[in-house]
Amino acid sequence: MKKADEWRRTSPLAVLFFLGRFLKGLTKNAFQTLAPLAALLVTFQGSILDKLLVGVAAAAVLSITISVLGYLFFRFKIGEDSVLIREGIFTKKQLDIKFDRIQGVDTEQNVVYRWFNLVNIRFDTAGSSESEGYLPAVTSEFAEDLQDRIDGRRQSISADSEPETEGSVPEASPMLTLGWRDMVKIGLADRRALIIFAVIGPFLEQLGDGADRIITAYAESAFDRVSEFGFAGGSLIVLAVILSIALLLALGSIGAAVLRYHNFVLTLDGTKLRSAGGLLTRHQVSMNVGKVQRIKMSQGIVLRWFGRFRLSAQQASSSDNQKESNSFKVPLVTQEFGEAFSREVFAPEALNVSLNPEFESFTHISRRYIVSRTLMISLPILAILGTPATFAAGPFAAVLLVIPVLVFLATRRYWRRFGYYHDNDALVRRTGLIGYSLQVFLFRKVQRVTVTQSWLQERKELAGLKIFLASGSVRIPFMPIEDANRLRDYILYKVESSRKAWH
Amino acid sequence: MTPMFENPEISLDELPRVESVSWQPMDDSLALQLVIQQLFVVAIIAAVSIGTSLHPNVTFLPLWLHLLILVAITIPLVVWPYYSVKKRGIAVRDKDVLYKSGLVVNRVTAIPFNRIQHVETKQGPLDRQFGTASLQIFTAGGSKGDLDIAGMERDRAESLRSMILKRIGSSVEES
Repeated sequence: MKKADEWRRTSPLAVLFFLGRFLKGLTKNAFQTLAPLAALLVTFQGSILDKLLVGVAAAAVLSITISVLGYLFFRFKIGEDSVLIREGIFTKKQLDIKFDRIQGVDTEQNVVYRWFNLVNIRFDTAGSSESEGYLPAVTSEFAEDLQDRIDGRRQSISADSEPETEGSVPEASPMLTLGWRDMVKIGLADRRALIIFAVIGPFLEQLGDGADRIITAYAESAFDRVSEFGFAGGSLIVLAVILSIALLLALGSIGAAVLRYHNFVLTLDGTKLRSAGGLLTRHQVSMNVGKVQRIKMSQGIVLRWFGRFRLSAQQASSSDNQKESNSFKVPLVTQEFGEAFSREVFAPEALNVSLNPEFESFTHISRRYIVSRTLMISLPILAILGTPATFAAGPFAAVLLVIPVLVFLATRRYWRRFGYYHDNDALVRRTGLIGYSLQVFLFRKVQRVTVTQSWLQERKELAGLKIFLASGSVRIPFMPIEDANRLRDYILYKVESSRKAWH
Repeated sequence: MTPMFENPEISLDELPRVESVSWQPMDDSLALQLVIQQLFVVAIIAAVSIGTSLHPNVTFLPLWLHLLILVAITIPLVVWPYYSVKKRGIAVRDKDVLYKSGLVVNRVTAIPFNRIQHVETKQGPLDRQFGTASLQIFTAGGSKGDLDIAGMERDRAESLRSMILKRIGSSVEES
């Protein structure tokens, strides 16, 4: 590392970073920013093409100027125990990010930066809602140095955390790598495959009536042609169109998976989890094992079909600020990997629990859960729909009674899958309606515990247990009050006797 | 700094039980405070509804029916605090603070001292009248006050706050 206490600039290529940030900001509030430009265009005399040219040129000049200025005004300094950043063209901003508060140093490398061996650093300061700090376009050696320094600093403070092997092994063997077949699975399982529609939809609307007219005209002429083929042929064509749209969406989603996760590598070196992946921009994320609050493994219908899970290791977060960055995500794992992962992360604790949904000693909650939940869900629906339906359909409104039956079946299935068990250190909870969802956490990291009991539950000696972690809560409803109280007392004992850091 | 490692076996039956603590009730004035708060809301509703029904052009409900409905709403609102407050209680043990509440759903929350991030006492206008305060305890991962204990005697709230602050400071692990 170079001289510590002097204000420095980053590489001039940081201009790219500022350009990206500026454009991102531009698209976020497109209308406010584009309006003056549009006004300028209208007043400018000339043909449409000229106007467009001038517009594009003006936008380009503007954004490049702003990016260059952004770079020129950006200074940083690595202090004794903090990173200091000064930035801002018009509004000056001073950031003082203390090493202790930095949860992780994540890096990002796009194609250009890869040529010059540069990365963008993002400091992950979980728990604080203020804007995070960036160091754009620094060399990757610098990033590693800084990371080591931050880790070193943290260790010198906490005598209790696990001793890390000195100068941690640089090339740890990967725990997991994902190939192109996995990309297909990730793409197909991604919820974004559906979201794409939602994103594109408003965009089409924004394109305005013009595009709308063209599309409708095109569609109408297409339908005219369709009618020539007769009804059967017509519906075949419609079907083909729908199928090809679905195929396109799937391909798009797979493409997105490749972009984000190409050559995904997960390593655990010492006490540090690292993942790297991505085709054009390479994303590197790291998290200290000691910071993991809970590990979640879940599957939707597609992943269940593939026999895979998505996995995330969550760290502390303020709940009003559930950012992506607060968890370490692995998009596709086998169940065996999940088990091994949680064991490695929590070692040497929690050796007797594993993320195995088929494990036989899961404890069920009380059967009364089914009736209670069914009534709670279906009664309001019936109350709301009942009267208007009776008016509209008369006796046929009885069809509505299907709702409680369906809710009952779903709740019963959920109840069957709901289970929990624990060893001396950790608790595993299993849920799921379609796929399974499993989560495991250490007792000693619990923040607070609540036992709730309604007066109906009181008569049956049942109660709900809600365990609050620094990354959200875990509920176990309808368990015997005796068990809930004992588990609560045990958790309190584990927390209060723990001398280890919880984050 | 590192303490000697010891790991005595603990029998689960010997663990301290939350059920066996003696709960301290809230300040006597709390029920009255809650009633005043409720009545304030009722008064606004009453003013609006009676006001509209007196208007010559609005004739949907007669005045007596209005009053009847208002009374029907008010009675439970006034009665509820007295029973609710009876169910509330706070207990401070050596290593954690416990709070119970809830009339229909009984809720017992336990927060270990070594997980508390910070503590606040707050005094609203009613609190100042009655010499009470509410104590708010924050842990990591929560957004608003994780535990909001209303209607503690002011001095008790303050002393509990400074006691908790001392405990947070003394149980240094890693911040």
